[in-house]
Amino acid sequence: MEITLEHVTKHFKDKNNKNHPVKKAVENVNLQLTPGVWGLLGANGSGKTTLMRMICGIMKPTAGRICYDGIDIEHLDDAYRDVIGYLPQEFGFYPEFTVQQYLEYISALKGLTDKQAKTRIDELLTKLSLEDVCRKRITRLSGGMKRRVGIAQALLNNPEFLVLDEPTSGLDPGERVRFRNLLSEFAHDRIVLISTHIVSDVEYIATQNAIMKNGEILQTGTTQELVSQMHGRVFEAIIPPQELSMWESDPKVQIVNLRNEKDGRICLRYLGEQTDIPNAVPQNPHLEDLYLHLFPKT
Amino acid sequence: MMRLYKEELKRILRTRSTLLFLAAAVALSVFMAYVPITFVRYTYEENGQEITIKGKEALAIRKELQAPNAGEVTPEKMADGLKAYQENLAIYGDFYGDFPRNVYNSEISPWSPLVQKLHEVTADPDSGLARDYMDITEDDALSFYEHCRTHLADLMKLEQKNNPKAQEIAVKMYDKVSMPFYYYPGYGSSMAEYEGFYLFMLMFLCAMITAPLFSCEYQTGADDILRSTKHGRRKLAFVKILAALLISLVTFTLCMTIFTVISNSLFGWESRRTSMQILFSAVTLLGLNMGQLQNLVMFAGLIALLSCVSFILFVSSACKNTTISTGLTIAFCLFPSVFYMTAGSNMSSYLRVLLPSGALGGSNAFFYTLTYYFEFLKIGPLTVWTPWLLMIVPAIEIPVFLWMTVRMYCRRHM
Repeated sequence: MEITLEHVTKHFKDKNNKNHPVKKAVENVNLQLTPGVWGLLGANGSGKTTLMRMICGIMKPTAGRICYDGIDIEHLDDAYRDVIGYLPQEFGFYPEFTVQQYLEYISALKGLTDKQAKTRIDELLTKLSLEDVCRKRITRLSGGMKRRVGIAQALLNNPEFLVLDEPTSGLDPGERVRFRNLLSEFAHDRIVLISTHIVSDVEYIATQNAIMKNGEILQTGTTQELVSQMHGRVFEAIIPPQELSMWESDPKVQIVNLRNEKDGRICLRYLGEQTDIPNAVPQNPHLEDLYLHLFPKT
Repeated sequence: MMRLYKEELKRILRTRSTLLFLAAAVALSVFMAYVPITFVRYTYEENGQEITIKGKEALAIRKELQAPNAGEVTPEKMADGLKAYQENLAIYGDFYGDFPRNVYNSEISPWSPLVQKLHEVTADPDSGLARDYMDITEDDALSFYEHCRTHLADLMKLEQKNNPKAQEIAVKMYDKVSMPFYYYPGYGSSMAEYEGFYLFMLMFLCAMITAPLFSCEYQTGADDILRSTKHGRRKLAFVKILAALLISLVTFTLCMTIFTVISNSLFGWESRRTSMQILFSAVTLLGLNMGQLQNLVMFAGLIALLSCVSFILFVSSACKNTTISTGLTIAFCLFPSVFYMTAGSNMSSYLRVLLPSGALGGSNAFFYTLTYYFEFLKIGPLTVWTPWLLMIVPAIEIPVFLWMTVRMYCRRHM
């Protein structure tokens, strides 16, 4: 099973910009998604959501094509939608629905029989700790709970290909960990594509990553492969507090993290050269370091 | 598919606004069926004072007074009625001054539904103005039905001066009207008018239920999830359409049944047998009795309602939020009535026919076109009686709007 993106491009009309009437949201993306968890990393506005909507068949590419096992998803139509589960970044519910009613409705849309729906809904309510609120209206739930309902609906049809756009926004740290574990368990023999700008969400569970910037895929690879580029570029140094403003304004030094030490000095984690700050010590790079290297403004 | 259909129906029926509109439709069916009887008055004099009885009691007295004239409207009855009119007018002058109320009740009122028709069909052929009752002769009364045909031909020459084809069609249509007419006291024209107005309300309420069906999804953002599901495209669009049509159809059937049962029970089921030519113009072009007219108005109302709902589904599928779709729905429902009243041109007649809601509302409504106007429209070489167009055009538009809805919904975001 694989999803192939061939030269996928999406342009929008930009009515507000007369000089550039065409906005390039996604530009010539080529990607081959194979079973496992895929992290799609990119800053806000990098084109992740547009790409995901095209992958889910909600939006048509301006150019290029998306194939599922070699067949264009446009030709597969509902057969393709039968094997996908999608959680958009922002989504709404009919205000009159309770959690249970909503899941029953979506299960009907996904073609589940009454019996299949009942079993699957009970299973997911338990897995996502939603049993206590299943009779509550969704509009009355907290943001995290709503997100869990969204995840539940995406999993209803036991999809072969799960597409999650910023799935962890609104979840507390405990919920994030549970969610990551749920995904890891689920991803066996399936493709799970998670778009996020929160690097830690995918760092530990993604088997492959794709990094997107300005509508283009900059890099793809395993977390280790991507992180390896940052070897020798991440350092930690301890500095007196009065030097902080000097290093902050130094264009060669990109500060990743600051920590106050007990003795009043400051521990800096930064991207740059070892020689930039005296007594700097090399550190093991993380995916977040690469992300900050590629998206310095974020 | 059936499961999805049930879920969609349940979803719509759970919506607070839907329940509110459905409750309003049922409540209005009772109210609008009851209101016409409150207008029935019977006034008489007692000890020099005028006493007015209203409602059901007044209707019962009127029916009792007119009962001897119930049944077939014969030329002899016309002549007797005319005689009663002329004898009393000879004594009291006219009906507006000091005409004694009790004499009017006993001598004139029983004959008035019949004699007024005689008065109408003996109008001056050139000006269309009615003659004085005293100038109508017994021979006129005895040849009432011949006068009807002649009057129709004269009237059409006045109404459709430049359209000889329309004149010809009207005469042919009227030739098919079965004579003699029948009269059974009870029904008044106001009841049929209220039916027409209630149909407009029903259309408006069903349109309001339909307005957010698609646009609500776009507004809440529920749309993306629905579209990514197996049945979230064409099938969902079909299901939504079928649900909207079923809800409208059931609401219509239920509410019109309530309306018909209440109104006919109040006015008397037997008066459904009255020829429409007795309660409206004597030269109305269709040979229907009031019961058949009631059914035809209902049928035309159903077509207009379904056509309007189909159009609103399309509007909803094209609007990005419920505020816009609801606003357009209100504007669209009211537009034909307002435009027809204010514009009054030939163009407004054509536009009314083209708009799916054009057959319901105020003076533009199918009911008025059928009973009061003698309107024909030219479509290329064809001349067609407007009431037929008010049924045919919306019926043709239903599948067109539904196809456009599916297309609009499926292509959105693409």
